[in-house]
Amino acid sequence: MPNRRDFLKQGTVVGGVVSLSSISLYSGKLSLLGGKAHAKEAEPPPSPIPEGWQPFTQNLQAPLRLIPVPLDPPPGTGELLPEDGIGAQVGSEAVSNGIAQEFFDKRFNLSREDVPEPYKQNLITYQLTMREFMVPMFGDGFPKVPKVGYFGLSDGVLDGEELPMPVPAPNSTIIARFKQPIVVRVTSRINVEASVHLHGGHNPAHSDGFPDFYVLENQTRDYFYPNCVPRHDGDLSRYDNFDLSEVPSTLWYHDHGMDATGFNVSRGLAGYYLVTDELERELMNPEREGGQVLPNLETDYGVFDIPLALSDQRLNPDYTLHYDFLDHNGRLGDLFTVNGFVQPVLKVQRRKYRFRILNASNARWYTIRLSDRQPFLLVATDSWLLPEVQRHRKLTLSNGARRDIIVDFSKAPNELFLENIMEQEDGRGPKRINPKAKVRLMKFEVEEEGDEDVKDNLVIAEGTKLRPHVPLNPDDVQITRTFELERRNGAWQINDKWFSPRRADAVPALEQTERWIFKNKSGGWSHPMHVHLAAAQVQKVNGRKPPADVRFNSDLLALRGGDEFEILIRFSTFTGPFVFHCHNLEHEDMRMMGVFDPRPVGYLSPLDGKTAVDSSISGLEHEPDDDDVFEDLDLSPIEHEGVGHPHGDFEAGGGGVAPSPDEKEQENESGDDRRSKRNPRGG
Amino acid sequence: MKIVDNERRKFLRLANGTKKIAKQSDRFANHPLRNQLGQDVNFYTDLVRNRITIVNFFYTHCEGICLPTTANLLQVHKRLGPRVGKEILFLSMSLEPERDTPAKLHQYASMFGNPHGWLFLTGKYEHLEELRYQLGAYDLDPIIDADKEQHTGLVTFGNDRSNRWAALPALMDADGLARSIRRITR
Repeated sequence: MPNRRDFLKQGTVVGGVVSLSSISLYSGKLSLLGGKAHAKEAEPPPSPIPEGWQPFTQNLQAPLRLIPVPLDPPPGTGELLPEDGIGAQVGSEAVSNGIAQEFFDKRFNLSREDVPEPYKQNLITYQLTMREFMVPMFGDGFPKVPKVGYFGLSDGVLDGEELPMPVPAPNSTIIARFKQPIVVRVTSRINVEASVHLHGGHNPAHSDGFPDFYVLENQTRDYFYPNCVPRHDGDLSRYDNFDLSEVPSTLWYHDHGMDATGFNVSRGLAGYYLVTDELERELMNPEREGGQVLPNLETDYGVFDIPLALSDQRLNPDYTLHYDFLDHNGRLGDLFTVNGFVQPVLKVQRRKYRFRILNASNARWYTIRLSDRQPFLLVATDSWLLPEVQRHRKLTLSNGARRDIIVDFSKAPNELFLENIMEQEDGRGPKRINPKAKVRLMKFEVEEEGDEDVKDNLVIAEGTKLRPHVPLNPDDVQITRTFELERRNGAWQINDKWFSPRRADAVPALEQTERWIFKNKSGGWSHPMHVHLAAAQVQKVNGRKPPADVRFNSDLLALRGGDEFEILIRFSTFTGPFVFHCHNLEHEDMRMMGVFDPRPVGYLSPLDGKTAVDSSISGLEHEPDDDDVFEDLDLSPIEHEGVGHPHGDFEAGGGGVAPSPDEKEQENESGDDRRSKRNPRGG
Repeated sequence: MKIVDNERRKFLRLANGTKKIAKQSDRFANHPLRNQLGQDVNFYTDLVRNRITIVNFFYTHCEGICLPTTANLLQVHKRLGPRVGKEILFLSMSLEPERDTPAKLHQYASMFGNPHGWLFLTGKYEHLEELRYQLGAYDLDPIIDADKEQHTGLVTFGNDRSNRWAALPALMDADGLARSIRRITR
């Protein structure tokens, strides 16, 4: 059996520093304390490597595509039929939330009267079950690893049946169309609370995976994804004013359960959700005048349009997943997986491919490049296509970030690798780009030259026009909010507050442009910040122009220690509650989160800290049934009063009430004073 | 609601021939400690094994957030009801064990009305430091880690039987904290 040293020699982990990462630095630093180097935590053993296993021998697979199934009972029928203006009906035992009122909301061109009947009937429904399964991380013939995934009809099975092998993780890609609403019925067969968040989408609050709107074991919940975008101007009488620059392309759904996100996502609760609209489908059209720009998602999914989810893992010696619940710095693994397979290989033709790269790791950042140093084309950042194609040689992905790239293998060497050159030694964040510490994530085997059959009609190059960008206008800014991220007593605070899911930290007015400033004041810690619901338009990074790949729409702000990001953002679809948070999932689980609750101008947010979230929004009781352990407890103070600090912070813009445009001046005059009063230690 | 339940054991045995499932508490040292009544206990076998434990670090001479933290945890203690002392134990571990004698710990506990099922613990410095790391109350930055008060803000809790653990800011609202503890340690 090859020992670890042999394994390193084989070039799997070039440089050798990576796999032993977090603890080696950690112990080194402790020794700086001189005689005090005492209480070092026991190092977890390195992940086991199966005897006879070689990297880059198992084939990479794309996640399977989910197939629609009818739901019984259908969403929004019978007891679950929504009425205009009332909201989702709750109470059915089988389904904890019906279709939402938003399906009929005029703002989204989905009004009960206005939407043609066939369109309403075309509601697409999927069924997913969260359950444990065995992942062939090392390929056939090697030990499998128990993980958790979202399963549906693509696997040939529904709830409770055997799975065919092998199944990649993440699994169950949903392919959606703009303006084609979807309901996904999610059932939990796992005993950890979960909440499904569709990252990057415009989804109503009850379907957004708010942290404690849980799906508990053996419960079912309907998630409604309208696949809509906001209007430019809020004028509901017209249908030509949708902001098509917000139509997403590469989304992913993943777990967001409060206090359990890191555990659940590392176990595999993640999947792709790909969207096309008329514009992107035209770019994918082989008959397009001027030539096809992108591979056709419908016919080429998993062939020339391939998701690549990067996730680092650590295993116990018995091939179970290692997860340290008490490592709050951020989980790092010593095995590098793509779509759940450790260092796989993909056989490719000599043509162009679209790879939808996702950083699905809890705490590891990646800077990717190709081993032959050839440049590649960037077509999408996070959820959205760029206005025009960019050319890069390397790209950095913080946790949760996506980059869609086009790689041209027509002149590539016969084999090349996707490499990570971001050095990272612990969960605090990446250290630096260091080619000497490179790790090969996967191998591409390019077919021999001279194959006449290769079809490659793609005409795409740097500068090719994709999706027109509609910038938010800084002159429209009604209010500026600053969020200061700080470490305090081993945990995290935003603006000196601990997170409460029942307190709105911001109540933006619908349809108004806001400027949000994130300041990372927590020393050497990196915090990729994610704001739900809308695209962020980065204006400045530390006072300078942002890097080329994040100048348009993005949904992850890669804040490293001391960084300051200034963004413009406008919420014009749904009322809250929604969250913004650090996407290092261990930081998120340590409650590095805030709530925002968009409301029409002048309306109160119900999230005053005293009132529990309206059950017509949350759709279910938030807490599990009492286990025998707690049967004697008097839970009345917990169950009936809601949680959170009561807070009187109801000034416009501070939380509580959505500010009106008239308050802009007021804010400009008094904003600094008020801020310094609230935070006596100053900004 | 057990992660390590028979069904899962069976599943893993069938899948991998696994005999023993790795638990978070495998990493806890079974150090001897002494409580506020002078009684000797072992950390894992007497306090954690098969129980729900709610742990924080403090010291009696602390002039910062130790007092409000203990007061807030007392509110959590009240919300968890009569099971505290049986299935549930509160453990407050000293960061200054040389100074914090059982008598001093007893005095501290008395300030909070000697809540039942709540052990204030002292012992050998290096033992308590080791447990502090194993329980996740450390900072990777050695300068911050050398500041005792930085370790007094977390409450770590878990259920050894279900093998689910977490930690939260100890000064969060007591209702929210009690809810999370109840849910995670169920």
